[in-house]
Amino acid sequence: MTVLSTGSVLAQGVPNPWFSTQYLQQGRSELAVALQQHITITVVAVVAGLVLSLPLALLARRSRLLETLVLGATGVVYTIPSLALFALLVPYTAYTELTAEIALALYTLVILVRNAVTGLAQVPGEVVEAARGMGLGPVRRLVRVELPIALPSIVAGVRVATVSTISLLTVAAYVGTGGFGQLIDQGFRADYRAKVVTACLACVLLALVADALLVLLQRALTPWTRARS
Amino acid sequence: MRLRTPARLLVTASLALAVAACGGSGGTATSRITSSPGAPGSGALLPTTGGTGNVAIASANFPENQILAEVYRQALAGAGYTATVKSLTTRPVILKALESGDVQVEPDYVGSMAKYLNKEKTGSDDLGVDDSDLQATLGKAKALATEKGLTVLTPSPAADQNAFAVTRAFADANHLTKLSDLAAYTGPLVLGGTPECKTYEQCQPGLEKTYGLAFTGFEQTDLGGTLSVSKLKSGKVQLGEFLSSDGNVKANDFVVLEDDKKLQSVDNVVPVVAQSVSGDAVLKDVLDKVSAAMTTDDLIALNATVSVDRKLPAQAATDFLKGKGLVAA
Amino acid sequence: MPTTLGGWLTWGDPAGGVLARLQEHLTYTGLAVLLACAVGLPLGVLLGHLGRGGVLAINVSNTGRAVPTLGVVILFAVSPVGAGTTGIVLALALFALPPVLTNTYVGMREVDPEAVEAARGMGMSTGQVVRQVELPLAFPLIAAGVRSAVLQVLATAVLAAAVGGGGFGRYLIDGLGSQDYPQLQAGALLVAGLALVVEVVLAALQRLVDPVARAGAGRGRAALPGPVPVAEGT
Repeated sequence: MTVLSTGSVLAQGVPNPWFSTQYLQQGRSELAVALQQHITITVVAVVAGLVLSLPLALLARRSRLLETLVLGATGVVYTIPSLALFALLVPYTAYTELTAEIALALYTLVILVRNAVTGLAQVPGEVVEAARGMGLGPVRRLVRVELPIALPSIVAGVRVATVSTISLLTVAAYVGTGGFGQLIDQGFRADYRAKVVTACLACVLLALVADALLVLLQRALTPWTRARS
Repeated sequence: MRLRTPARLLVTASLALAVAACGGSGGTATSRITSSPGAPGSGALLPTTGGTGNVAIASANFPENQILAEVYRQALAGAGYTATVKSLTTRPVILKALESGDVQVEPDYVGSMAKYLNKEKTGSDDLGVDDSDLQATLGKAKALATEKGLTVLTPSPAADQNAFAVTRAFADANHLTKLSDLAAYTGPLVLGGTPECKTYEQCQPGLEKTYGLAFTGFEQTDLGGTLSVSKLKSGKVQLGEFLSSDGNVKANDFVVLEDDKKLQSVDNVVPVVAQSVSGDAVLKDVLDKVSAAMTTDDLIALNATVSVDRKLPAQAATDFLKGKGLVAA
Repeated sequence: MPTTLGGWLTWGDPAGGVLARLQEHLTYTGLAVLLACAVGLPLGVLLGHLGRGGVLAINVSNTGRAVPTLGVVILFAVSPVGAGTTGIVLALALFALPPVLTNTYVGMREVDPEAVEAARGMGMSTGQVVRQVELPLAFPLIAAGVRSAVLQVLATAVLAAAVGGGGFGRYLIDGLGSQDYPQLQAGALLVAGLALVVEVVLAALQRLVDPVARAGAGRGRAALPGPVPVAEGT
């Protein structure tokens, strides 16, 4: 079964359908490998970003100046095009997955830090006071009281960060990183439309599935929000 | 869930397509690789034991190199190695990866490699030997590679070098059969090549020096891929860089201009290995046997398998290994 | 070929120097944003005025984030449109559309209904209401959307080089291919510098053009805080 057969650029008379079962069958293993690579790098980048974002958020909430500085710095990183940031890291981390992971983690910061700051700011003052009154030290206050209340905001940020990362990772194909981006580029060079379309679709599907899973995670982590309509 | 409707639609549609896809049979079953009895290397099975450990093979970003990398991968995996292909991009990147130990093997081309290493070392592409003589060029390549801790193995009879092509209409209108004919042409002459073409001696600088060509522009293309064909066809480019083993040249009725002044060096396919595996006798044996079994016609057939039959490089590699009797069918 | 960062930055050769690349980059960006505005502005105004299609207008940005920009650029490149300027501009316009559409829609929706009522009460026609009341009040958000689109496309336009196009991305792709680090750094610097300059210019332009601010009727309403990552800046 082939769909929408239109001519190939490369050779007269060679069909170049936008979607082909031939590619789905032959490409099964390379799609599977790309999926695994894409997931691994995304998870590493988002988790690293999350780990980095919390201390940064705590720093930002100490003063207006610090907040402006921290959010400003992460905002500046965000305006650097991903290809440029990957390229700038190459002299230091070469064509390894680390290059992509570092850059992608940095990109998640702009949304994760902002959402963590917003989330923590939502904790009502009386609650903090009550916790202090109960003798909870600052660390336990944070872990037991403030973070759980900030969780919905943080997880919302993780959702956006994850979907963005999955999309941005495709560009890392130009620094030798695996994943769907590499398949898209290979499909381009071989004028193989079905490969390009399938890899793109798979990437979008992955993003939507990840988003859906994170929604479930959010509901599981914050059962009290379900009680409210 | 905010994305409920569009997400559901997309997921359902994709799953439906996937299910439909699993049902049908696709692709041509026949292989383009045939082995003639008595041909060198054919019929002799590759070793199936003796390999241990991980081997990463680098491939450049054009299909022929991807096919070669897959051939090496499958051959080595058959011998017991845990072999993977790492899709890299260009020679500078691949050589760095070889030196740093990220990859252990790469498929390269004798003359181009020698010239690249020579230029890196001395700033000049002049090897000091006749670069249409395989043995002399190979000797130079081996010496230069050893200085970087790399080992050049035994070259294959299969060769593939830069080929410069024009459209048939252009060739007829200007009476062109060889590259030196172009020197008399005075119209707009835009060269289409990879970004590396601007600095590789066997590409733009060589065309300018050896053939006296004066280009009026340069456009990026991709060694015979989508951009190469479309830009030449549309007239954005008058002279395009292709590979001599490329099936797209014939398929689009392009004319390769003869390299009468021998700008291109002998570019036989040859595996280059890193220091860490240079002492591995089994690895060398496998790769040498694979190299010996491959001819230029095989290379052309393999490229056509990918660009015309739309098989993936991995499939083309399997066709080759089985068709040549190197691997049990 | 220059071998230092400085060499790359001062190379003004028209055949491929910084000025030529700048022109290409700005052309891609300008055409793409114009196209996106030509579609997104009227559509956003219409939907926002009518109060319809909110789900579409808002979710287009969320779903847009899930679509890889490189994928769209390459899809156009392998389509009959081909890998030239047209294909690149179309792909970039698709990415500029979500911020423009979403912000225009939201801007229109957030216009104070009392102001609209008052205008109708004074006998203004629908067209007059839109032009003289809703648009001026929605302007800050619409402007923020257009600004966001411009900066996003400016960043994404580096991908044009991946399909054989020009622009500052050429320094990145070529530099990566030949492992020429000064060229890479020049490309990154140029793109960042351009983004900074454009951001400043757009901010100034917005202040100049804002009808509410100009009419002296108090400060225009604040736009959404910060560079809202409504869709992806690649």
